[in-house]
Amino acid sequence: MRRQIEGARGVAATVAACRPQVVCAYPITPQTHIVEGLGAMVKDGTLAGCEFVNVESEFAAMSVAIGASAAGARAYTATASQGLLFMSEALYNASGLGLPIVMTVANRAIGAPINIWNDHSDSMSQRDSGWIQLYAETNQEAMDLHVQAFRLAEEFSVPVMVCMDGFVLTHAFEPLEVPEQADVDAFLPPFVARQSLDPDHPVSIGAMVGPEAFTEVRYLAFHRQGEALRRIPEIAAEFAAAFGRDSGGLLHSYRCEGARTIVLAMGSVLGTLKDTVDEMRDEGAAIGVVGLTSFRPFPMEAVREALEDAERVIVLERAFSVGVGGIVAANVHMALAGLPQRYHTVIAGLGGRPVTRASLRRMLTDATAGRLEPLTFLDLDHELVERELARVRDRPRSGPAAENILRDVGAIAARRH
Amino acid sequence: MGTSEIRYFQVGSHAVGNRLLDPGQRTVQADPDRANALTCGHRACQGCGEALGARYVVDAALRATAGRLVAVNATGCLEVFSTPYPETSWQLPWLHSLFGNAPAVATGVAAALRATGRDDIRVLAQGGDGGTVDIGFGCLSGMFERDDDVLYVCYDNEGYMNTGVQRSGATPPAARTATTEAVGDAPGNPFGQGKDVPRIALAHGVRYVATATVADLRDLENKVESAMQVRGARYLHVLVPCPLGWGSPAAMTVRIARLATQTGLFPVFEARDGEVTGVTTIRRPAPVEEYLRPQKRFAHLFSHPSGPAALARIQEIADRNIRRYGLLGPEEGD
Repeated sequence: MRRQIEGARGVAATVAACRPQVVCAYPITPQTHIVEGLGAMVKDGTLAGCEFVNVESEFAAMSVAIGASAAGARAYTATASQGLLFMSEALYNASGLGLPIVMTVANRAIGAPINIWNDHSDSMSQRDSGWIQLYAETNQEAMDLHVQAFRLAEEFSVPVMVCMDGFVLTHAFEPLEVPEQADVDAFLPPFVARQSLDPDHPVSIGAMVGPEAFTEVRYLAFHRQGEALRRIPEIAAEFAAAFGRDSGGLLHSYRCEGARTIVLAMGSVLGTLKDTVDEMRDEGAAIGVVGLTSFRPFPMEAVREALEDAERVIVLERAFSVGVGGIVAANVHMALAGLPQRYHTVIAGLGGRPVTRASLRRMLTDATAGRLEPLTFLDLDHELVERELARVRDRPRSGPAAENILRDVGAIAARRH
Repeated sequence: MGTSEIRYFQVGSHAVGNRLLDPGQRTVQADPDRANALTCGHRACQGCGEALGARYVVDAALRATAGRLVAVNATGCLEVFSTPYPETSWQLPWLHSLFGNAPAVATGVAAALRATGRDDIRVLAQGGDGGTVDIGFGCLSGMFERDDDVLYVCYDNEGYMNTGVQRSGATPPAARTATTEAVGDAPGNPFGQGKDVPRIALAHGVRYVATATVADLRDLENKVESAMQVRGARYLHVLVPCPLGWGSPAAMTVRIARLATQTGLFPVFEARDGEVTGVTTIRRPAPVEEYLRPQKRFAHLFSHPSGPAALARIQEIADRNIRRYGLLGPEEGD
């Protein structure tokens, strides 16, 4: 059904159509509207047969999901940012135990400095947690990915994170196709747990495993994600056949025919990027875009295939690893090992800074002219940075950096006007 | 070749032999068909109070639920010694997730059972004092507050024994641990304000709260039985001496637990809906010294110059418990 609806509410309606049996909720911006929506649907009976548990922390939210999933229920929760980090220990536990929990991450920066706006630092920090990570480009894709995520999770008994950009997607109102209950029921069979706590068939789950078997258990987790990698495009194809639209899959190439420069990115920035590339293509620049949906498992072969013909590869990402640089970029480099491409990493949109067409156009123009550095922080205000560096140089007690810079932002803004 | 002397174990105690009781009143452990939920072969130390307590608790809970029970376990001694790969000692569905989340995991299990129409199956969560009063405390309070249908059992051995006897929030004042060494002017654990989780459970208005020790196993079984008759959040705090951590002889586990109750240091009571409804009175009052002396963790109290003052403060704690719960019974004070 087509509805004019907020992204978060669209996700809530879609998750409800997946018939979760236990939903645990803890408020954190910008995810909160999702669990609010689900809570209301459980309370008014729209979502029947579901327990909605208000917990006291994200650590508890994931722990409740672990217990629920191990007892044979389809379990769901949503979080973001600090909340994802607070549940980190339980994330590794859920994947280690092989529990097919589905969770929405409404991507948001991590403090300090505290910041509620969008980037990918939160989910990127959990990339090694053993969860499958799918990144949505649009609200429609975010919704559709949840239906596919439950299928994927339950087929492989692996937890899945659906990552959608906080505010940019979660809080945007637009016409969205909310999947029909009957279609979802036909696509997503009832949950049959691979392992379940059942007095009639008692098992111990979560036993101590020593050096004699730990490697094998961990290898199987790696193996399962490899199997999931093969299934992700198939499930996306089945979804397209059932629902009549393309969503999900490993990655999507956009105007890459004959492209000498290809930009790879994840999430909602792809929209602006495609618009920019459209303009520049029309002006004759040979630029294409690859939108990566599946970050874990990382589709080495598909990425290589999508990028191998380009001369220049730019990875545009909304997070970075301090002390090294790009995170997605490092994975892309692995996929392209041995190929002669020139690489660039562009860190953009941190803490909600808008990634504008003008900025992207400047960056792409520099790239095609051979002026782009291997690592660039898009729209970095060098004046602000230099002022703080000078303060640190000149004064032994220069004070807190973030607050100093905020004061400077005010001073510079005043001067510019 | 000596001859083995016949020993009448119950002589001198207040226990009543099962043979003398009506079958309905006999202990769960006396039943040849008991669940034996925690089977032999686990790796607990000799004289482990926790293994003893857990066996009685889980078997009693299984009897009370006719075997329809799931257990959730926090990380700790009980988890480690019961499930060394590839063996498990548990004869019931059992889930271990993390150190600090057993109450929340149990909430999830209970929610799943309700959502899938199987709430005839009940949930027991268990952990040590570290997993309960310290790292799992937030989750425990959340579970209490929501009144989730979980019986949480804390086996309190007053320290982080699994990691090598470090101090926990349940370690008593003056006790020597690996992180509160018996050195300096004030040897052992400092005198803090304590963290009385049974009373904190009462403050949550938890439907059923009780304390017990492995010195009175029939009482422990009864309390598990009573707890399983109630729906909603319930809390049982069981004192389980740890020969390794307390420096007490393995053969004295039960006697030391009894001394903890007879000195007043560990009050044994039962409470419903936030009100104390029953207290196990002291039969043979004993000074705290009698409880502390056999334990090496308190040895410095009897050699260090600060010992007498510390002993007096510990005696004050015991006396306050005795007054607060009326542990000497109604006739006392006449």
